[in-house]
Amino acid sequence: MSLVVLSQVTKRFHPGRPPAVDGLSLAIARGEILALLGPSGSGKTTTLRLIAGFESPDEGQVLLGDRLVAEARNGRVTAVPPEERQVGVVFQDYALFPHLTLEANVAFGLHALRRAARRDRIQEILHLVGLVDLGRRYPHELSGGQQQRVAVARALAPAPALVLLDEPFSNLDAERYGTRRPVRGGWP
Amino acid sequence: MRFLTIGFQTVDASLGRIPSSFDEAARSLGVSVGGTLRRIHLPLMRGSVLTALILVWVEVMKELPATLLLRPLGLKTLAIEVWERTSESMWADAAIPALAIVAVGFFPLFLASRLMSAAWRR
Repeated sequence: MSLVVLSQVTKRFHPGRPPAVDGLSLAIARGEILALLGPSGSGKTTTLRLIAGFESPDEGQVLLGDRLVAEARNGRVTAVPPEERQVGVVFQDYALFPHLTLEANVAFGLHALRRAARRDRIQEILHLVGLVDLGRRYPHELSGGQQQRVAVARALAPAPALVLLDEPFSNLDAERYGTRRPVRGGWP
Repeated sequence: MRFLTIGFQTVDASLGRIPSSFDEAARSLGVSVGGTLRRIHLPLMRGSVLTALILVWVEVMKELPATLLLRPLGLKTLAIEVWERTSESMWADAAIPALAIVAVGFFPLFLASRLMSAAWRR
């Protein structure tokens, strides 16, 4: 069964201008890695935002698993808010919370876990991205590549079925731990 | 209204510095709108809200015309004391409340400037 299904999804920001996403249909299977390629302004980010729930479609449907999370029909839009979709997102600007340590950033989405389980999960995830020793640091004390790995770690921590990465290689670094490894191996 | 602008500008500037991707990141991690406000916006704005409070307090304390017009009978603020005594040329007597305004105003401004420089370092 498909993990994500978009059918005939259209999103238009300015009436009269061409839509950002025009009648897009796609299906992603569990475990599949799909890359959207295209020039800037071609709707890649908008597509991710529609899946994550930050935008609502003007037409079409979005399904996550067997759950209908957004639908627009005859101008009526119903959408499940992003916090109820369990989709991990790694932002282009990482969006790390500057007032929280790495550990607290990673723990942000783990509110459902008990304290001990949460601590174990934080260690596990920080280990995965190779930042165990830096857990007490704040985001501004890290390099760009390290910040990116924290953003990946934070998105993976609640073990979502789906992770969306917006421009994931905009800060590709040649350090020992890349971004790809945790993304591929981050599921329990 | 006069004091509102001071407080509002300070708080609004700090709110404007919080990118919308912070909201979206928090919500994608399963936190509601209210939780995002409490765990992201309030802590990030705390410094500037305090700064705004202090600035407004100093402004209110040294305010003269509005206080003169609106005060209940018999109420005297430091600014009114200074004004009454200087209008009667009692310069030496006026100095004490005037110095008190400076003293009471100095400490919060010192605090505010420290808060503001701490906020900028973020």
